[in-house]
Formats: sequence, C-alpha cells, structure tokens
Amino acid sequence: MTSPDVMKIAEFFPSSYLDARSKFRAACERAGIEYQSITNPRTEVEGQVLTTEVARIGSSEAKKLLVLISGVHGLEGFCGSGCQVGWIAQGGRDQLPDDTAVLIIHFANPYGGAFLSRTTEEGVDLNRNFIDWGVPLPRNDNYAKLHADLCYSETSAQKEKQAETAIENFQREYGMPAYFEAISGAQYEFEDGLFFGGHQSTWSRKNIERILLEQAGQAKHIAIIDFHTGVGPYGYGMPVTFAQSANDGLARAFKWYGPSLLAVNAQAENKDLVGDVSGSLIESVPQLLPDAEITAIALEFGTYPFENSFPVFREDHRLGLVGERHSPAAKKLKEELLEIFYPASNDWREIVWLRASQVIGQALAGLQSAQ
Amino acid sequence: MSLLNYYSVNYLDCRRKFLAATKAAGFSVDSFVNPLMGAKGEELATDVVLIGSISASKLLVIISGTHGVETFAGAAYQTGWISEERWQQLPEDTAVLLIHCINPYGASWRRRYNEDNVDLNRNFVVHPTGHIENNLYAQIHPFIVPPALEGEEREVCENALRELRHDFGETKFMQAILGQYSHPTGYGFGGWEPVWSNQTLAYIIDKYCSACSRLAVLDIHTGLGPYGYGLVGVAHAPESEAAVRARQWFGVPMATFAEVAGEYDFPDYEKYVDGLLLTAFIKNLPKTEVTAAGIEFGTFPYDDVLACERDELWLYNHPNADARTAEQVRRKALRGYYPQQRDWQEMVWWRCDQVVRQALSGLQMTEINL
Repeated sequence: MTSPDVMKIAEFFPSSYLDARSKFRAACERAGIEYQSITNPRTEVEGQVLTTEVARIGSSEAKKLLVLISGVHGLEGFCGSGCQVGWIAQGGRDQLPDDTAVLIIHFANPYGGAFLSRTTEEGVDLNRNFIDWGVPLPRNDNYAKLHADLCYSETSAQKEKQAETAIENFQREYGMPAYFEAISGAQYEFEDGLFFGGHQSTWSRKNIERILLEQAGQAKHIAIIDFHTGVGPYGYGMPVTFAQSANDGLARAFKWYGPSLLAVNAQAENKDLVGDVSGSLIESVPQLLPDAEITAIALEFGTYPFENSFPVFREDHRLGLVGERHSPAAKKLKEELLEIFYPASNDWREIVWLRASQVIGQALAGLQSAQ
Repeated sequence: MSLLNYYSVNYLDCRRKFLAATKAAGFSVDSFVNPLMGAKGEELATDVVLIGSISASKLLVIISGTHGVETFAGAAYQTGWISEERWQQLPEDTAVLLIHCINPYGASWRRRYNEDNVDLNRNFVVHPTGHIENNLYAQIHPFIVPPALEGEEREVCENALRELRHDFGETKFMQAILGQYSHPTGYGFGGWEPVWSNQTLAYIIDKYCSACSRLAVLDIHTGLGPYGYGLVGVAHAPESEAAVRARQWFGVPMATFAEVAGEYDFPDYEKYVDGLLLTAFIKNLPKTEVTAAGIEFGTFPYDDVLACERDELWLYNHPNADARTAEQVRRKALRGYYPQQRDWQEMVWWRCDQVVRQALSGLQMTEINL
C-alpha cells in the first residue's frame, strides 16, 4: 500500500455547490461516465440553475445495484460529493464486479447545497419528508411546547431571555435526552420550525423517487449508502440502519458492515445518538421498490458535538425566518454552519474518504454475497 | 503487500514480523530481554529501533503494547511503517524511535497487565508517595475479580457486582475501578515499585531521547471508544503550552486526558495521569520540549471489554486452570482488545499513519501560531 496522498484526496472535496457540480461532471467525463442533470425548477444561484446529477455505471440489466446518494441534507452534501467524486476518480468503475451497477445521485437537495442549508427550498428537512401522507402524521408534542421559544422572530433582549429561560425549564423538567429528541426527531406541525418534515412531498423527494424507479427497477439486490455528516466523533464514519428485525435485513446489514453498524431501532441505547427519526429516505425505499431486497444505510461522518452545533444551527434558522440573510452576522453563521457540517481540515477529509471507500467496498462485497 | 499482513495474533509472530521487517530494511535492533519466558516458551523482549541519527534534534517515539494484549494494533503499524518505507520521507534532522512491545509478557500471555499483575499505565508514579488511595476499590475487589469462571459461584458474584454497581451509581463505580495501589492480585493495580517495563523504558529514554530538543511520543492503545475510531489524548494539562501545541498538531479530535475523562465518564481520571507511561518522557527529560499523546482505538462496548478483562484476571489468580479453559479466556481477552477484522485493521492503520504524519510535521513547526 502506498502512502495516501492527502492533497490528492483533498481535491475530491468541493468548496461550494457549483464547485461540487463541476468536479462531479469533470470526474464523470474523465472516466467516460454519462450523467444526466435534472434541473430544479424553483431556484438558482449566481445566475445558474440548480441541478441534481445522476450517473449510472455498469449494465442496465445488472441484478445488483449500489446507490450512492449525497446532499439529502443540502450542505452535508459536500462531504458526500467528495466521496462520490473520489470513488469515480480512483477508478471505481473498473473494479465493479459482474452483474453489478452503481447509481450515483449527486446533491439530491441542490438548494440546500447552494444556500448552505440543511433544508430544501420548501424549508423542509428532506430526511423527514419520506412519509406516507395518507395516514395520520407522527406527532411531536414536546417540540410543540418548545417551538415558540426556539424559533421566535422578535428581536429583543427581553424575548431572548424569556425564551432561554423557557428552554432551560423544559430541559430541567424533561431531561436533556428528551430535549434533543424533541428538537431533532421530526415535526410536521410548524412550517417555520426546525426539522420540519413538510406537508407534502418536496421536489427533491419526488426527484429521488423517480430516479430510483427508473434506474433501480431491474435490480433484485440493492444497497444504498446515503451520506450524511454531523453525528458522531470527528472524522469517524458510522453506518446507521433503521432495520429492526431479520425480516427487514438487520442481520444482513450487520454481516456486511460489522460491529461499527448502529442499529437505531434495534438497540435501545442508541436512540439518543440519532434520535427517533420518521420520514427518512432509507427507511422508505423498501416500500418504493417492494420487489428488491434492500440493504440501506445512512453513513454518518462525525464533526462536532451536537450540543455545540445546535445553537448555531438554530440561530441560522431564526435569522432566515426574519429574512436576515445578508448581514455580517448571518454570513458569519453560515461560515460556522459550513464548518459544523463540513470541516475544512484536510485531515478530516482524508480519513472520511478512506472510510467511505472502505464502506463502499463492504457494500459491494455484501451485494456479491447476496443470493 | 496488503497492510493486513502486518497484523499478528500472537507475540511470537508479532516479534518475528517486526524483526524481519527491520532486518530487510537494514536497521539494527536493540533488544531488551525480559527475564521471564513467553506463553509458547519464547524469549520475551522489548525491541527498539532507531531510524535516523541519534543526535537528531527532533525525535518521534512510537510505542506499542503498554497494555500487553493491546500490542497488536500498534505493533502492526510499527512493522508496516518500516516495510512501507515511511522512513524514506523523514524530514531533515528528524529521527524516529520505535519501541516494540514495551510489555512483552502481557503481549505474549494476552493480558493487559504485566508479569507482576501491574497496569503499566499506573506504574509511573513516584513510589510510594504517589500511590493513590482508592477506598472504593476494596469494596468492589471481591466481585470485580471473579472467584470462578462460571457456575453458581460466578452467578452469585455477578449478582453482587450488579447490585454494588447499582448502589454506587456509574460515577462511583468508575471511581472504584480506575486504579488502585492496595490489592496486588486485583484489577487496575499500579504496583509498589517501578516494574521491569518501567525500568527498561527509563533506560531507553536515557539512551535514545537525551540528545533531542523536541520530542513527540505516541503510545498506541486499544479497547476504548467507538469501533475503529482513533482518539488522540495528550498527557498534558488542558491549558498548558504543550496542550496548545498538541492541539495545533492534531487538530479537533485531540483531547487532554481531563477531556477524555469527561467524554467517557471517568471521574478522577486526571489523578491517574501521573502514573501514565507517557509521563516518563516528561519527567525524565525536563529540558526537552515534549508532546506526549496516546492514540486510543475503540473496539467493543466498555462492559464487553471489562468482562474479558475480569475473566483474564480470574485466570491469573488460577494458574492451574486447564489449558483449554486458559486458551478460551485468553482468546476472548485478545478479541476484546483486538478485532481481527479487515475494516478495523484498516481504520487503525490509516489513523496511525495520519497521526504520525501530524506529529512529524508538528515537530517541524518552529513556533506556536495561536
């Protein structure tokens, strides 16, 4: 094994949404991989339309398919994009086993990437949006208690003080785990709130579903890696599954990904790490593609502790609500937010890339073992 | 060669690979032979290799096996570091010292402690004035060291331990087991005098580290934290100049031991810092700029690792156990500290390589840019 070339790895990782897109397109072109650009009709940045790029590598008849998705949470996509570009640039295509294809969805939520937000252009947390609208929506009563104090638009010292006191009181009364679960779980009640799952399917959701139906329909065995950041120790890559029993592939996921796999719904002690999340992309895919055997993980790369990051995240959201986007304070928050979800350190990016390539390898090996 | 080949599952192979790599690269080995014999009747030794000049002003020391059974991660990196010719890229006036298996007895017998049942990472205090009084330990001792491996006696012990842990609460429970200087056959015993590994290290430091003016030390451990994650922890006080320097070298994922204590809920952990092996470099080289860090690689959940350790401690106290039982216990102990799986081994290698690179570039920085 040769010494990892840190600078070369650093080049996979983009500095902005537009840079990510150019890097992705260039990597595809160099590797002779065709891609489609799907335009988001609602928004643009620096005079350019926003797109989700889709590349399919390998035979359209392949029975085994690995899907790599970046940017479900907008700005978390810089990390995922770097991993996708790295996989292409390092010759991933040439090492594909027989009867196996790879589908890359680059920046599923381009708005969030372009505007350094976790949400979509609809203000929705896309990973809470994959929900069945035909049945009653999950309730988050604790969030309802907190909303007015988390997301107020009034700017006064008095309001701030009242809100902080109310939040502290909640924390004292219900405990920190309940607090974090309330704020990050998912809520479908407050459009202007945090971690809002939406009232209908977003453009990004419909787009992902269309892509999967078009491109994954032939496959019998599908592995999905949905890249995220912000949970876990700095630089550590942790696969997360929502599977909870043998029926939905929990044992298979452990066989593929080993002891580092976090089974949120099967291991009670892990609940406070990731929270009780409804409406996630990976959990919804089995219903979308009922004929395939799906092994889906979110791959979470750690950055900074959530309790330190959350105030920045919340203040950024609040400034968005009051329409303050261009002030120096708002810009500074965006810079902090970017670091929180995408550390600038090349060492972080190096270890992320190495781990990502390892997990991609585990997924491909897992697909080969599928009968 | 696949980096997985640098990993071994027993001390004999581990030493053989290291010596072969060293010989192939043309470096000479300074072996410090331990008077006892290994589990397979083999010679036990700490092998030291210096790459670069003994008078280099900048020196990086990489240590494996402070906790015997944890040896195999760090030792694999040391062997690979030589075979992959990382030494070709050494900066000017910079040397590397590899200290391979500083606790060879523990490595060979697959135990955390040494031949005297001493936790080497509690042994570097001043004896006897530095012995920390841990009154809670006496209460937990009869249960943390199990009287039997299985059966009714063991069940009674487990129930009692569970009850005691519940009564104590987690904080007090951790206080009880973090270290002690009162029970030589017990858990976390720090020893009553400098043990062989301690004396050997003092000699090595004197012989190889006296000339440099800037020294970095990396002591590689396993068994704490998320599977495959490598946390850098420094043996310096949180606000000290050395900690600031280390932060600059290692970046965000560096913690002082006080912070590690907070992260893993180890109360009083900073009290035990003075017993750490890393502190020998700081104490013995008062005129040298020392940046001393451990890398801790996670394996399995804390209680699983603890269970392996406790069984091993039973074995230590029952040397007449039949060979098959002994092998089962040791195999389990090894596995707890050393997942023999490709993903873990790769993660360990990559992270070691990164931290070593950070330390080597850190040594080249002339001033701290705050």
